[in-house]
Amino acid sequence: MKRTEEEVSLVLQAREGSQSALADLLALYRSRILRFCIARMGDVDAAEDATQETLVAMVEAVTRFRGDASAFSTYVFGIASNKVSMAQRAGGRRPVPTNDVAVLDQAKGEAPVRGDGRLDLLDQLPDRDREILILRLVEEMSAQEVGDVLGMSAGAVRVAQHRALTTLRAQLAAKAVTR
Amino acid sequence: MTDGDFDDAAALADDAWLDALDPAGDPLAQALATYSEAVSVAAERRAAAMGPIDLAALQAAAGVTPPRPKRGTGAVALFSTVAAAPPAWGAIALVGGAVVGTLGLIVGLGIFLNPAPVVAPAPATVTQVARTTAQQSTSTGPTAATTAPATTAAPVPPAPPVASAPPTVALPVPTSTNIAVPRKTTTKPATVTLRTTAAPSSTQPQSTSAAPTGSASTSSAPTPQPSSAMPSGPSSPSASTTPSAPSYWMSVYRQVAHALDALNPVGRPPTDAELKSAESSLRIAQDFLSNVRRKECDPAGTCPPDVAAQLTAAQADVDAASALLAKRRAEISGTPRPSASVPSGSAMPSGSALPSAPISPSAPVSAPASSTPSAPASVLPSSPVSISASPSPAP
Repeated sequence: MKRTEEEVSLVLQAREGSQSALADLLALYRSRILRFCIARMGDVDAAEDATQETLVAMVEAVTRFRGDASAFSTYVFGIASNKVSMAQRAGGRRPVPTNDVAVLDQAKGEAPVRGDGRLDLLDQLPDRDREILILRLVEEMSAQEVGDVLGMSAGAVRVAQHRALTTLRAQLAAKAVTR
Repeated sequence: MTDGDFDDAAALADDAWLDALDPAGDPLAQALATYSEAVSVAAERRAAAMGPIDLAALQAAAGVTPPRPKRGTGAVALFSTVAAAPPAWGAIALVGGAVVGTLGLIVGLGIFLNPAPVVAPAPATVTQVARTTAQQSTSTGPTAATTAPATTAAPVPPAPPVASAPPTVALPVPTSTNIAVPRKTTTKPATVTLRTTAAPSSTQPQSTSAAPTGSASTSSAPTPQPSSAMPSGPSSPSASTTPSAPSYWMSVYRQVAHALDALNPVGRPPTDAELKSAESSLRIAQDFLSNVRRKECDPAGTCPPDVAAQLTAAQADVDAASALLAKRRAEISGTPRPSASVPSGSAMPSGSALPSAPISPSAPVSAPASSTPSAPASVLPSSPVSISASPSPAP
């Protein structure tokens, strides 16, 4: 994940109580958190709710954050992961991708992704493996950063993503054979 | 190579594959890239639809109050506020505060080093004395009335006349500026009681000054106030002339006032030393008046009208105080002394405008005392005790 000096500076200022820095920091993280939540939950509305809860938790926790400013993103995505998990447990349902992505693709003049069945393969992954791939792909985090978010070691993250990719490759190969 | 080593190598290879994801030629890479792009687009659009971040709402939802900038108290808070202000206003506030503080320090030092001078202390003192004595005389009236039975027309009439009549003194009030009130009359009843018991009847007077009865009015004889010697104010015509200046007349007044204070001690009769002091003061006052006559009046004795009026008033005060001195001396020594040692206004030029002393309304009631011929006859308008005496020593 790419961090800029501006992000670190905003974290430091928001931690000291700067309201403008906090607002800028929230605006910077909202799209990222929303992207992560959409990928995790599939439902844009539910993802938005989880994003709002994550932002609220950020406001409450930013002044208490005493870690390295560069590690703030992992701290925030850890919060977001917990919010998504809590929302999924409260809803009692697995993440079911909606047609939002397909609709967006149609709006862009592209073929619906869901119609290709490729996201179906991603949806069939275990939650942890799916979450690892989302963080690695969507948020462009390194294995170490994903491990920091999920409380895992970098090696465990690599093994889990290798397992997930192997599963995806097998499913894609199976679908190709069936076609 | 073990299975674990193989797995680690494969995991590292996949990790590198993900870091350098190339959709071209790899269906899984293409699917993952498409998925990631679709999610990003959906998030961006949803974020745009959400509008700007409402920080206040988020803070309210989090139960967090906006933190305030850390500031101290007092001067620290002031400087923190100034520092937090825009640079221009901060500089203006700092410069203004420094200027105001410096001016305040300078003014404070100026006041400390140069206190305001006391302006015209003498007239203020006279006024205060006059007011004080006026209040004393007012409060003394009922007391004197209770100790001395009322007689005729006087507000607080003196004792019945006897052969050795007490030296009732009628003080002259020659000018309207006179403020003649009794002083310290509340302290005299003790003396009156003693002399009353000593002189049980009028047939056996102890002395010429002893009151035959409880004549508190005589024992608490009003003390003439020498304020007549004081000009009415700076606008007085005689104030411009050197010998008739207010300070000069105030010198006379002070001497007379000093004499009266010595003659009227609180709660006791005056001592010999006080009598001598009063006599000395009256002599000095008389010398003042003589000096005025010598400088202001022509050899024939004609004085300017204003100076003559002042001289008349001052001389009357001196004469009244001298009469009181004689009375006090007689009371102490038990032997009447006809006149005070201080020469009265006999030195007044014949041409002066000294009017004849008016006779008090109570004068007929209290018989003129032959033993005190030198006492000037006058009236104390504000005095609750009116006393009479021999005619004025006017030339």
